Amino acid sequence: MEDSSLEEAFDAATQYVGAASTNGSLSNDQLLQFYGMYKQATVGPCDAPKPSFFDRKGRAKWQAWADLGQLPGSEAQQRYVDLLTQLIPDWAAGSSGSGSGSGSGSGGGGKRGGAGGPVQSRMAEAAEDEQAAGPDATPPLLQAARAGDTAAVEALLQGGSDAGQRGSEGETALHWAADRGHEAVVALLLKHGADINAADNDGLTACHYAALAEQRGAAQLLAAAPGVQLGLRSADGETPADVAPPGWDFLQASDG
Amino acid sequence: MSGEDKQPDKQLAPDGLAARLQAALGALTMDDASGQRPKQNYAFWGTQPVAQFGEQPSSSATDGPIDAPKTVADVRKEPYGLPQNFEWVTCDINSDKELEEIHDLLGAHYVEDDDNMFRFAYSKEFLRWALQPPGFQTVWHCGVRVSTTGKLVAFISGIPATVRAHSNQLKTVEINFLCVHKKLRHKRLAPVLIKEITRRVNLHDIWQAVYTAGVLLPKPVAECQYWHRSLNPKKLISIGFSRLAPRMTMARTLKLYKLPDQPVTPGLRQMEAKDVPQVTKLLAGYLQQFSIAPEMDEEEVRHWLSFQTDVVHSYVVEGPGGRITDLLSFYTLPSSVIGNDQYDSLKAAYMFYTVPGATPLPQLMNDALILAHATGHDVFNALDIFENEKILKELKFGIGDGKLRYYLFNWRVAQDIPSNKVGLVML
Repeated sequence: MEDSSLEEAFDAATQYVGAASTNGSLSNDQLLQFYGMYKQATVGPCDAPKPSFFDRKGRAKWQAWADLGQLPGSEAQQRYVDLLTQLIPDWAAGSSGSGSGSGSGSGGGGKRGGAGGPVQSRMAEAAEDEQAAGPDATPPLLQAARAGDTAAVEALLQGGSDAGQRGSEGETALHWAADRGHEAVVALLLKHGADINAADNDGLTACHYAALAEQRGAAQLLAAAPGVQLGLRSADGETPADVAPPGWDFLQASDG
Repeated sequence: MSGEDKQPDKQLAPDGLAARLQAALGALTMDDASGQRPKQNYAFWGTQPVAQFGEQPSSSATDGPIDAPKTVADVRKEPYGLPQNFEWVTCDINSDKELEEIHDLLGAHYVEDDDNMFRFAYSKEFLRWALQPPGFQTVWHCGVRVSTTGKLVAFISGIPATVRAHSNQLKTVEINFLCVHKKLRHKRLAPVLIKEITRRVNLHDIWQAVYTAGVLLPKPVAECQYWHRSLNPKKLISIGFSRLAPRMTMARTLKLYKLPDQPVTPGLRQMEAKDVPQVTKLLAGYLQQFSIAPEMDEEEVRHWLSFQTDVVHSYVVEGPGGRITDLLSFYTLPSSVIGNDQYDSLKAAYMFYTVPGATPLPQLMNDALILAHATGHDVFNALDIFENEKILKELKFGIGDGKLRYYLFNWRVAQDIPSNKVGLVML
């Protein structure tokens, strides 16, 4: 039953896409994807010679097909139907091929639900960025560390930037590199004499940050660096090991 | 099917034409995709007794039914026709096997987000609770099976509820859990399911229904916005539910959302059976201020608000002399996380009925966050209904990318209801 219903869905979807391709409701890129999956489903893996360099459209189509490699035909059919459902959730409910404007909007599940159901909402992109509105007052060295830009960090330090300068939370460039897991920047900052035990306004060191953010590589690098004090406690009385995921034994303070 | 290249060649419109058409239709199709703007026409909903876009004002001057009055005798006696090899089935929630079938169908084929990262994963206990309130009818748990294999491939449900819309008390069903197997979405089963559940409800002399959807259909009585409060920000970021603000460290993000281990309101405790009469009165009084709200008797309050771990968490504040002054509640609705190596499930709490009395609402809601966090929920979700609008930001909720629309079937309201006048929660 499953196979025959997939065939039917695929046939219906190809008809829909065929009609929709003329009304602009699908982009060229989308049509190319449909083309590739159609060929894969109906012919099999691409065995056609690659069109000449000057046949731009031909090459784009060939590529869309060839990109699917050895994908089985039934999987290509399923992906074809899924892509259409993703782009036009109620395509099957509307009259075939009329594109926008005639769906019933009662798809019975799928994205955002049909009628009679809740919504799968998640955090909108802007939600947590409100504090970030306005110009970024973070010092350039900290920004470079945040971005993992070793060349910029190197250049700023060579140019005389203070490796110990602080951001708004009292954090240093080393905190940012640890938080984001940029190990090369961590190493570079340490090489330039950044204070490995510097604490932010809450008493958190770069080690705390690496542990909190679960940046294992950065945490290991810091824990093995000379001069590190793993027994330092935050304002909440926690050591890096206290805030780390289970099993990060390398953060245990050896000197108690 | 032959290997001929002809059809897809025709499908691929010439670059210039496609680009022009796309530019011309760009704005429209983008809006359609997000369901923010009415479509030209609705093949199915245009035939149903629902308020339509662009109706003459004169026809909507007063609240009332849309269809001419009917009686049970007027209702079609035989079920609506299904495509060949499909048949109707009434699902028995009390049968473990049938409950499992519904659970599995919804688990694999129900609502996903726009990027197909999360899919609702209602637990069996939750479905039992959601589908069997006082007065439930088994025939309103309406499924479709494949005749040859017996496989359950579609479902829709109705549960009885008394709902007040403006000043009218309506005997309604709440329609929910409309789900069609992904591979059968082309068979147009959803409209048949809606017509069949309508028929089965009409046979019980009920002529109005309430339902919700994310998509824009003719025609919402209310449009509400989802908000989300991170409880476990690291996990939410890791699974792509939210993202780390570009200028914020993870350390600071964790601090921002950190919650105490214990609620702060004195006298706050789990709701118990003995609280039902007081809670019923408290809730009824509070819901008066909203333009659409349920009317629950004691049996319904007992059903909907009895504490059940990871189904519905309900708490009351008990003041001097055993007086119940406040209510807070949320329900647990996990989602499957699709294609993540580290996590396979997201445990979300959804705000349910909450009544501030002696306790200020922000404090009561903050206690709800604390309790949800302490019971392992990753995120707390709420709509901008009730009085939430004024407290969501201060409680560090972030706006969601989803809207929820409320609809009434066979009932027209003269005045759309603003979200802060909605006092009804649908699961």
